[in-house]
Amino acid sequence: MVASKLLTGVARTFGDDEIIVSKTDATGRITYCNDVFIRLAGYTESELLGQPHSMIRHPHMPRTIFKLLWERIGAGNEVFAYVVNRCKNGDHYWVLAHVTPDRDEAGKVVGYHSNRRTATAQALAVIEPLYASLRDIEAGTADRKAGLEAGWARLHDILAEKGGDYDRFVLDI
Amino acid sequence: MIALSSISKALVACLMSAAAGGVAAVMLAVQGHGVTAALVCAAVVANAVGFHFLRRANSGVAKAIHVMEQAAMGNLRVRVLNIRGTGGIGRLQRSINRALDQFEAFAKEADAAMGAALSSRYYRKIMPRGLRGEFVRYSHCINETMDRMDEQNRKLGMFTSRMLKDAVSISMTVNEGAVANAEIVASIDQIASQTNLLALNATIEAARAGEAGKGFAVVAGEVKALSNQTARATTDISTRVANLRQEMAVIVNTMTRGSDAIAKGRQSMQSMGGRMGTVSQTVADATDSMAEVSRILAQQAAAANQISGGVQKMAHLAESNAIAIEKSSSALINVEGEVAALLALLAEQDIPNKIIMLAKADHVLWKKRLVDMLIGRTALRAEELSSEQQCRLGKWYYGPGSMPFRSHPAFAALEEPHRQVHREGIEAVRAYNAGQVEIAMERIARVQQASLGVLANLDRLLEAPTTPSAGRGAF
Repeated sequence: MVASKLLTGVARTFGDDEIIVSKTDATGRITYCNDVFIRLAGYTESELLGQPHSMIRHPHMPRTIFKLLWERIGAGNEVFAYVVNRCKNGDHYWVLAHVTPDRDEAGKVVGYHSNRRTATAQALAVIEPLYASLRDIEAGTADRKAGLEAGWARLHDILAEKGGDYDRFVLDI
Repeated sequence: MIALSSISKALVACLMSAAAGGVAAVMLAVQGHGVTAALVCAAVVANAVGFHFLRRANSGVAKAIHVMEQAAMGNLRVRVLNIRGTGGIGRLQRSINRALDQFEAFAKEADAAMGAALSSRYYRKIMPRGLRGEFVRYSHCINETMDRMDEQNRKLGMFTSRMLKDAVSISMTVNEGAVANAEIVASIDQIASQTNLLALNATIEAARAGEAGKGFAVVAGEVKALSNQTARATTDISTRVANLRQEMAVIVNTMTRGSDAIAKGRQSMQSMGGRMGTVSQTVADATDSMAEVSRILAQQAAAANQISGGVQKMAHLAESNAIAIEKSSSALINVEGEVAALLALLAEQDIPNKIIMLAKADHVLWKKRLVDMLIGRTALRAEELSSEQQCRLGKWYYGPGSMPFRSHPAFAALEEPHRQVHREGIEAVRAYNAGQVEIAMERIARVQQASLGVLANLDRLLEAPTTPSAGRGAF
């Protein structure tokens, strides 16, 4: 458990002309990951396939952002979010994740698809302090649920200041 | 017969070769050729290894085929999984995945961007980052189109809100105009009925004047006809104005409700355009009618003026002075010519000058009341006659409507005779009511004298070019 939470503080990068691609089934288990994903995450394909996507989750990610993400996807919408992921060895990499539902020919959601692109330094200058503040708020209460609600409220306050539209906010920075 | 791939054929060859090798090894061993048998065995083992790798390659190719067949059917979700090795087959499989990653990313982006455009969220463009080659070019192309759509949409929105604002302001103007119209129409009606009486009066006086009054009777008849025409025109105007107001109310209502519908489609814009066309036609019709009334009014004012002058003189001189009657009837002969001149003048005038025409007509009617009093048709009290600031001419003169005319020399010259008309008129009523008929008639003669000054100056003002703002101010 301690080893899985190990963080090196080393940031990994990938090319602006590369996309990290992964797919999951409807329950969030990985069904596909491309070579860029494998290279960055430091796992082999067989280590990743069938595992929950949360295996690359970084402890610095605010839960509020995942709540927002799943709320949007659950409603059948696309969502963009800046996400920091954890590599097998404890390194990390920032991405701008675009998550969409994958539908079969009948339009039924059969899983989720994520294209992840490089995050600009300009965007991270806004996102990193925002996520840090959300994390502090989430950790500010003993009750996990209350913490998430407080973070959620804070995020919406910030969005309201910036015009209220999350999609616009995330695409404009 | 199933078509076999080269790898499958190689597999079959391997199996046959291994089988033949096995048989050969057994035969050689039986015959006591131990070393040769061992060598053949080694060849069989090598063959088996080759068979294994060939089979692996075959399954790798089969996976690639399966994925590509699905992709060829338009299923972009499929990928090759469990890729092993970095050799040719592995590279083939990875390349297939990379190509599908690009295809799918582009398809998802294009889908999202187009969906967003449908709901006017033009900021959700295709994200070209991560895409390669022609996908980048296509992305830029689509994004450019979205920028244009955004721009068009903005323009449409601006146009719509401007149109809405215009419609509201037009509607307000129409309402104000309609109120002003109603007033004008009411006074025109009043003038028409009074003119009718005046004409009747004139006919009686003409009969009394005998032969000399014949031409006069013709003019009186024409005035009567004109007043009837006026009454018809005013009814027409009232109807048109009412229609116009109703139409404008409908438009403003539709536009207010439809402003977001407009953002969605142009159909409502087109029907709105048609509707606006109808309105402008109605406005044009109403304007035509107003011009018509204005023309009739001018004829009436001129004729009424002449008749009034004639009646006054006749009332004064009828019994004793036949020469005076002759003079007044000869003055009336010119009426037709003057009416024609006025008509020509009005053809060049804007409707705004109507207010001056009205003031003129009022003025004449005001004088007529004095004459009516003298010939015993009505009783007047001095308080009933308005001061020079309260009559329509006075309200116009001292009010904002006359702004554009104030620099005209005739404007300043108008004030004194106008004031005199009122002063002498009121004095005439006082004198008449006090039984001093002679003095009253003297006063009325002065009224007539001053009135000529008023009318002359008004005519000069009518000739003065008016500025466009004068048009709005007067209406």
